Formats: sequence, structure tokens, C-alpha cells
Amino acid sequence: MSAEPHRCEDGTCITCGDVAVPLRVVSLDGERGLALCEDGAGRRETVEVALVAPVAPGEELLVHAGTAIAKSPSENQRVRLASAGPSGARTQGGRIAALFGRLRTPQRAASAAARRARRFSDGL
Amino acid sequence: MKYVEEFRDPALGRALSAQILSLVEPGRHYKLMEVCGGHTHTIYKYGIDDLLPENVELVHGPGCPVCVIPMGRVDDGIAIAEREGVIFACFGDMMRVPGSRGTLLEAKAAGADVRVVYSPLDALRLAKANPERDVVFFAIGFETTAPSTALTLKRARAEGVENFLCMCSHVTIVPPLRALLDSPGFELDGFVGPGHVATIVGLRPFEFVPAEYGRPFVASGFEPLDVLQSIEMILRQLAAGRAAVENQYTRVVPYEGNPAALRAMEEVFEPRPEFEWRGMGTIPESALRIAGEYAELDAERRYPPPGERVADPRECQCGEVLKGAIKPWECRVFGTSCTPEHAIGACMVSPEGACAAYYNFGRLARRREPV
Repeated sequence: MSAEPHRCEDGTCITCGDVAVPLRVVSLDGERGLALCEDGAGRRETVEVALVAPVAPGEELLVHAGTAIAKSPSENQRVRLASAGPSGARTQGGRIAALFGRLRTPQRAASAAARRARRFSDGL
Repeated sequence: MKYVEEFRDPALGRALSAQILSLVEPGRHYKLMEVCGGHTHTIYKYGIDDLLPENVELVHGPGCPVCVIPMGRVDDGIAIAEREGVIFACFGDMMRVPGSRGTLLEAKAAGADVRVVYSPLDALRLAKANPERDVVFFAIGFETTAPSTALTLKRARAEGVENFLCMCSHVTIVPPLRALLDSPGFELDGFVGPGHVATIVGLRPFEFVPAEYGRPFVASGFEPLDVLQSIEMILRQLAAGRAAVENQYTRVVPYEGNPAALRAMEEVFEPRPEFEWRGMGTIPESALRIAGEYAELDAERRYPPPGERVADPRECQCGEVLKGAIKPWECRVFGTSCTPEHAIGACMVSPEGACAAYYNFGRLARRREPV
């Protein structure tokens, strides 16, 4: 067991944040109902998969406190939100693209957009 | 992971913000509650509240399972941790929560064998590696976490691990929501609902919110656009005079929840007749205990804790913060004698507690940045 931190890793608490982390299945222990999974940085952990079985290597799971609680959204579901935007392309419900005519004055919008862009990019 | 970027797109954020502006009535004050520490964190990390009109207020409910644990329960954990031969395993979330005699971290420094784990499976592994000791896992969290504990208890029994025990402090979300809605003078227009709790229990348990109390409830994801879209969906209902349960987090949450998780919880747990919540008093059937069939795995039977009720420090106003009655900066000790480095109450200990979120993201006063 590694050294115990005074706080959870990354300043996020598992239960308080209700965190579910996307992990990819590397291999399965079918007999014990466990999967070896890894995150984007290659860190691996053993995950209980009884709630989302059957799973296959390569699948992405949402994992909370060592247990997979759902399978990660499908590519289709992710793309649906991504297609909304100022280009006026197909949107969820068609509402979002139509709104750009109602943005506030260019001056305020520009400074507000700069603040928001910083704020959103900080989180990546 | 790549797809996360799509849920943090600034252009979409601006669009949703504008749509929200178009839905609010000038002169009407809207109060929306989010009940999940993860949502609190997203709101303050990304400044979601600054993207909202002045008359839309976000308040934080009792969705942080660390923050709602009363001091007496922390004392119970420390008492078990101090027992001879016990390895006390808990999430890092709990290590710095103050009891009446100190924290689990301080108990560890004084010689108790307290170890941080990141899952109940970790605690089970500890038990297998230390067969001569009893490993007590301090199980906290709402319905998102309870199935993990239930499955691990089933696994311990199936694998014949007799030295794995659980001190169950899981709580459930519906009773405190109902208690809040029943509180005299409690004003609220809608809920930004806990997306991962809903992944387990589904949306049906929340139907009482519109049906009995006439308020919208939207199960929300955790990215900034998820939260903004959920707020938009609530305001759209209010503008139309509707109240319903809606699912913003459709990419993950099924209406019926996770049947395997519900079955595991049904098998391993039963509701406690009542449970004390920090700042909210005693709420009936709001927490879980290990059911009779799994009694031999219940740490509180093998190591009965003191079970004493301990009043919060007089200066602590966590209870009012947890009910959304005051904002963190309105607490008399916020940022002065209560800081993350020296926390008086649990809302400041947990990074997802409202007070810690406000403090860490610089909201030391009632000031919103105009956008």
C-alpha cells in the first residue's frame, strides 16, 4: 500500500465528489468477476464489474470507489453534444445554435468570453 | 479522456448561458439546489454561477457524505480504530473530519492503525494480507458507493475472508431531500440532481419531488456544460409552469437504475430506523446498516462503539450551510478560525464541501463577477 495522503489524490474526494472515473478494461478475471483497468495515464487498478457485466477488453467503464457503475457513453452519445455549436450545425433540440443572435453586446461578450475561455481551459 | 473536451466547450457554455438568460423572468428570484459535492466543485472550479443571471441563485444541499457525518460517528470510528488488533481502513475523505476527541489522522499519529484505501476491494486485500488482524472498513457515501461495499461484503463471504468487517455509515439521498422540502420556511425552485446516485437508483425515486412538492428535478452530469444544461432544463420547466423529473445525464443514467446494484444492496443492507445527520437532526430510515444475514461482518457487533451523540462546536454553522440556509461566507468563522488547514466543521474539511469549495476558489465574500 502506498503512503497515505492527508487528502485524497488531486484534492478530490471519492465519496464527496461522487466521482466516476473512466477506465479502460485491459484484461478480465472472469472467475472472480474482476477486471484489470487502466486510466489515460496508464495507472492500473482492479475493478469490480458485477454491475456492468458482461464486459470485454477494450471497453471503457465509469468506475467509482473501485466498482464500475456504468459503461462509458458510446461514441454516438458524445458526438451528439459535440455537434452543437456556432456553425449552426445539427444540435440537441436545435435550440443552442439558434441562440447566438441573442448574445450580449460584442464588447461585453468579448471580455466575458475571454474570462470563460480561461476558466474552461483551466480545467482540462 | 478526449470526450471530456466536448463537455467543456466555451462556445456551448456561452450559448447555454444566453439561453438561461432568456428563460428567467426579470424581478423573480430563482433558488436552485445542487446536492452533490461533485456539482459544487464543478460550479466553483468553472465559475458556473458567474455565467448565470443575478436573479438565479445556487445553493448547496446535503450531498457531501463526509460533511453530514456527525462528530459522534467519527468518535465511534476512532474508538474501533483504537481497539487492539484492528486495522481501520477508510477513504482519505474521512481522515481529517473532526470528532470530539480529534480526527482519525490524529488517532493514527497516536498509534492507531488507520490506513487510507481507495476502494472496499483495497480493504479486503488488506484483510487477506493480514489474517491475524481484523480489518474494519469504514463505509461512507450515498447510493453511488453503497453497492461497492455490498459487493465487497458478498465477495468476502464467498471467498471465506473472516477477518474483514464493515462499519457501515452509508446514507441515502431521498430522506434528507424530503426533510428539507418539509422544513418550515424552506424555499427552493428546483434541484440539480446527483447524476451518479441516479445511475444506481434510477430516476423513479425522485418522482416525489415534482409529484408531491411541485418542483423540477433534473439529474445532472458533472462536466460544466452538464450543470449549465441542467440549470437550463429546470428554468425551462419553470417558465412553462411544469414540474417533472428530467434526465440531463442520459448518456449514463438509465431511468430504472442498475438492477444488479439494487439487488446487492437489498441483500446486504437494511435501513436503520433513524440516523443523525450533521445540522439536520435525526432522519428516519436515512442510512443503511448491515442486514442480519451478514451480521458476522458488521464491525459494530464485534466492536460495539460508544454511540454517543456529540453536539457540534457552538461556533460551527455547517448545518445551516448544508441546508442551503446560509452561504459559506455568512458563517461567522468562515475563513477566520475555520479554514482548510484548520477546519472546525466538515464542510471545510472535504474539498467538495461547500465551504472548502468557496474558500479554495477564492469566494471569500459575497461578490459575483459580472459577465
